[in-house]
Amino acid sequence: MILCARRARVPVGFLTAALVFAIGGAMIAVLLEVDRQRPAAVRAAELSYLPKGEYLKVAVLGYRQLAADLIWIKALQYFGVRTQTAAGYRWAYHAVDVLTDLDPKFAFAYQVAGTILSVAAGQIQESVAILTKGVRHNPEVWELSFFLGYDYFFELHDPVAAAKYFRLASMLPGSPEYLPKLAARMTVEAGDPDAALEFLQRLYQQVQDERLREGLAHRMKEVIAERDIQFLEEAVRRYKARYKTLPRRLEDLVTRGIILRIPEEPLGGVYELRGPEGTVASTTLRERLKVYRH
Amino acid sequence: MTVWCILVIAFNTFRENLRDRILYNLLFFALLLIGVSVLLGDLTIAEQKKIVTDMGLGAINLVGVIIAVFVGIGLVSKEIERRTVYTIMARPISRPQFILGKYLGLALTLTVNAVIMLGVFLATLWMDQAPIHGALFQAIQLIYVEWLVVTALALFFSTFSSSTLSAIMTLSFYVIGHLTEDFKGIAQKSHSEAVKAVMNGLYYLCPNLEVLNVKGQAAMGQAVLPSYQALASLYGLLYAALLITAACVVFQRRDF
Repeated sequence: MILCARRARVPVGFLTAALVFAIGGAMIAVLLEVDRQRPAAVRAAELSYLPKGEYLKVAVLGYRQLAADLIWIKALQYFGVRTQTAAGYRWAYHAVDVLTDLDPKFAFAYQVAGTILSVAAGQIQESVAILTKGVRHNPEVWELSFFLGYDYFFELHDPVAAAKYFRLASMLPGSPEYLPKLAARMTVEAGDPDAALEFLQRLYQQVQDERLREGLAHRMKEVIAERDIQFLEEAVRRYKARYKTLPRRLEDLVTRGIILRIPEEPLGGVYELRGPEGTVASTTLRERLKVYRH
Repeated sequence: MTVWCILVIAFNTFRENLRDRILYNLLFFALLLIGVSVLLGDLTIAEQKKIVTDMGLGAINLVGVIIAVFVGIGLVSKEIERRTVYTIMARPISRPQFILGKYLGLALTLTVNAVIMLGVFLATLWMDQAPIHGALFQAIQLIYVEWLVVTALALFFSTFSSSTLSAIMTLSFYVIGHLTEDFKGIAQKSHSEAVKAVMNGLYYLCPNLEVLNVKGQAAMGQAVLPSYQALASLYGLLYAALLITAACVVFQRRDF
């Protein structure tokens, strides 16, 4: 009898273990398949199902900051992806809008969302909206006013509004020492690309995120192109003053000794003379930065 | 003698809680906090310090509320179901002494929990080099008062209803307790005098647990005024005292 029981115990244990492994394995296999079949769009839309902040605030009882943190971690998966779709960024914006309703003091969330949406995603309206909300709730955080100033200056080409936010940022504790002077140069002499370039270089050193750096590097090249165009147009004016006619090609400026050489176009194109007024354009820079036009 | 009886029951309740392995939750709490802190260390733009602080305060609050509700509802009803209450009542112990002792016993368990959780929380903050403000201690003190109110609610309901019903009612009051500000809002917006009266009545009747919630400010390092802290604590303690008195009255009238 005892012998029988002993004999039986081994296979029962073995069978149980085998059964557990089989069920567990099957469960994981099914989960993987379900995960694969779940459309990416559905997964991405998760954040858009978030209820509005004003309702969620009530639903999470006293745990508003905690709920905001959890949504933030979720939103980071969208901001953190190197190549994100426009829809992905839109949902991430919605998530940050909701979580800042729950925790309006979450300054870092406004800052990350604001910069990535503008520099990396090109969604300027959303960036301005989230940063404006941030400045409203956290007037003491200089970074928020600073990046809002960036948006107004470089993206919306509004140096007056930019000046307001740069001034605000420069008066706050913790703001960089170079800011007041540089901001004044950028906004008072709005046509000075050198000041803008210096600003971008400082900003470039300040940010860590690769995408932001890429975005800023591209913006710097655009400003350099703008500076070159201004330089060439000035040369054309001098040419016209000396020879009473426009040059046929830009190379004439060099051969006739107005300038030493034609600068290299940083975006990979070339500079051309266009139109009867002697305007200069780049083949890659589609639109000139309005902010520098006098 | 009266105080001694209460203390004996309180200490026994505490020992019973320890036997029920209530303190195991602390392991869960510590693992959660340390886990979150380690995981977030990998994410560069996650703002680890803020999240660890929020998570610590939130988890301390929630763990305490869960203990207060689920241990609190069993304080009296379990004794009645197991009929152990008869052996206690046979001794020279009055019913209010029994209720008060039970309440203080659970309060002692919660105190031990609070102290250990606070220690783990501070250690995690220190490890993450997150700032430790005095405001955090204020928040935890007010969280403790909230637990006392929730324990009193659970004890009150458990004197006249079953465990399940007590749990449902206590949790409902916990939820309502965080929404009472809205009663006032509705009363202000309403044009009907009756609605105004009912909503205002509900506002004063239900516990206002939001006044004890300063977690948000504390995580930002903004302290509340000491006078506010004292008044909010006094409000919570008075509400708990009212509930315990009611529990004594109900328990006194019960037949068993």
